[in-house]
Amino acid sequence: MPGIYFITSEFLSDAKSAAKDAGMPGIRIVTLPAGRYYRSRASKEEAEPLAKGCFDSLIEALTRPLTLEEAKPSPIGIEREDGTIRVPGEGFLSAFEKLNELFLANRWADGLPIVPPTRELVDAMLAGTTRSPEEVIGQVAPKKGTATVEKIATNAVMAGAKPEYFPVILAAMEGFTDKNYDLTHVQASTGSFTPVVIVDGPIAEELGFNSSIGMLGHGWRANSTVGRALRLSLLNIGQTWPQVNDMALTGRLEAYTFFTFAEDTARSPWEPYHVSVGFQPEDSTVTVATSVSSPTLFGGGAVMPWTGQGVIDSIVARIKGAGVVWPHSQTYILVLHPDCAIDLAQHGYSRKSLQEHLYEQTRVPYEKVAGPVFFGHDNEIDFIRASIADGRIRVGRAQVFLDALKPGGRIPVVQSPSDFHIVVAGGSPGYDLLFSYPGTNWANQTKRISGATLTAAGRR
Amino acid sequence: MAYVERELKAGDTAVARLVVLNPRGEIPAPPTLAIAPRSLPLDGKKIVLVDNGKFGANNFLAALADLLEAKYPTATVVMYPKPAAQTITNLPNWYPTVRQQGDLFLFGVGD
Repeated sequence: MPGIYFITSEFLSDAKSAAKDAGMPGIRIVTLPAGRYYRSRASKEEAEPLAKGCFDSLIEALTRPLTLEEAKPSPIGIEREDGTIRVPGEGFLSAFEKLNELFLANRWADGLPIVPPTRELVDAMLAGTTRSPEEVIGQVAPKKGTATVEKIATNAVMAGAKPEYFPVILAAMEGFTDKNYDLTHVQASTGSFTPVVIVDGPIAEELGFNSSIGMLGHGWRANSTVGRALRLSLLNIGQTWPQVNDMALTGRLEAYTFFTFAEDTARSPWEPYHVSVGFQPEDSTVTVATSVSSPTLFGGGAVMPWTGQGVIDSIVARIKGAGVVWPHSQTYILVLHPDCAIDLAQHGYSRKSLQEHLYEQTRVPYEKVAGPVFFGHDNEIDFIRASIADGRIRVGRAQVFLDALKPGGRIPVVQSPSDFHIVVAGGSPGYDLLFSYPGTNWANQTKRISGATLTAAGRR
Repeated sequence: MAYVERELKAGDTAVARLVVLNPRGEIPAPPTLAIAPRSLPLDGKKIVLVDNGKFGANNFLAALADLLEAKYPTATVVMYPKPAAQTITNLPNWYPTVRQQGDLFLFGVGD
């Protein structure tokens, strides 16, 4: 079926890249000037001059006969990325500097200096796991780059990770490449989504992950370099670059290390998070998730008094008052600092009952979600009905929403109580953090860490 | 992608050399597909305007629909919005339905 695609000018390279990834590099594109389009799309009348301005190009693209190359395009070859790179210098520091210039020029680095991934260092990284260097962990979006254990090890070396961290990095990459995790959205969207990486189980303490004051900051090599190894692996194996096919408008707010921390299972009053989602207490796991932005802070920290119930009430009020346009498809990660979790536990909350409390209390009255939305639907109610029809609302949850879609009904802001993921971490005093992401069905993946050779945990 | 590799050349005074591995993932080759042949002219054709759901795309496509109907009065222009911009579960099933709506399609507006 003949067709054309309208693209705004800032996204032309992204569109061409995506077309090639899909095997159809010759799609015909009509480009609209970005500066004008985004300021004149609010009404049909405002958009008319733009439509007139591109009309001749549109007709030409729709009717011009195909060229020979368009009719029979040259096959897209496999892009091999093997071999070694040799960088000379007058001395080590000179070669080191040139190597960093080279990697950044090739778009193989993040802008900070990298550790040279020599054969010896990569082999040392590989010694941290029993897994074969050739094993394929998954395909990394958007270009479906093949993530072998050795490629991930190369990026882990560049990030400055220790070999004993490597099994954590591999498990996280399993999560990122899981078919139920929407990595394309995270890697390429204008929304500038930031991954959240949470380590659980005995390996967290053994490797020295910070789960207390400063857990999202600098100063802990495990947090920093595991996060950076994932940053570089996604960048290099998925082959993304800002303004080319990574269109995060602001860049990610934790651009170099993501939000990487461990749960404080020792001070938590509840079972560890990974146990709550089906793993054994002796397992070590890593959870990869997504956040739309920086987390929202609750509680008083060192400045103001707080109560656990007051924190929860504030979170409920915040969610209900946010005017969220996807009340049916959000997922949340609530990170409670240990004192707050203990206070809630002393007032009778288990993790499960707290999830149920949040689920019930954040329900939004039917009359308040009937406002206009975009994404092709006239209002939120139509959007929810469409989501039931096309399966985005999970089997077994549809009836809950159908029952609520009427005057007097109260519509859940998540599909089920378990879409509030509750983790305990932070200082004393501390703040409580709320991460959110509008994609319940593909937002969180927890993977068991296995194959470790240099730690007591994570071996089986 | 060609490397920006720096090779040693005759007379090079380098006394150190770092030999490192390529960090990039290998990209498997997708099957290469041709675009559909164009069928001239547009008179009498059914033109499908696919609103991708991004804010304002419907307004832009509506303005185009007016222009198409004015220039090709025997053509039919229909709007066929994509169900939701964010879904990843349903689109592989939905995209083929565009073909059933007419003879040509216009898709927009992509960021």
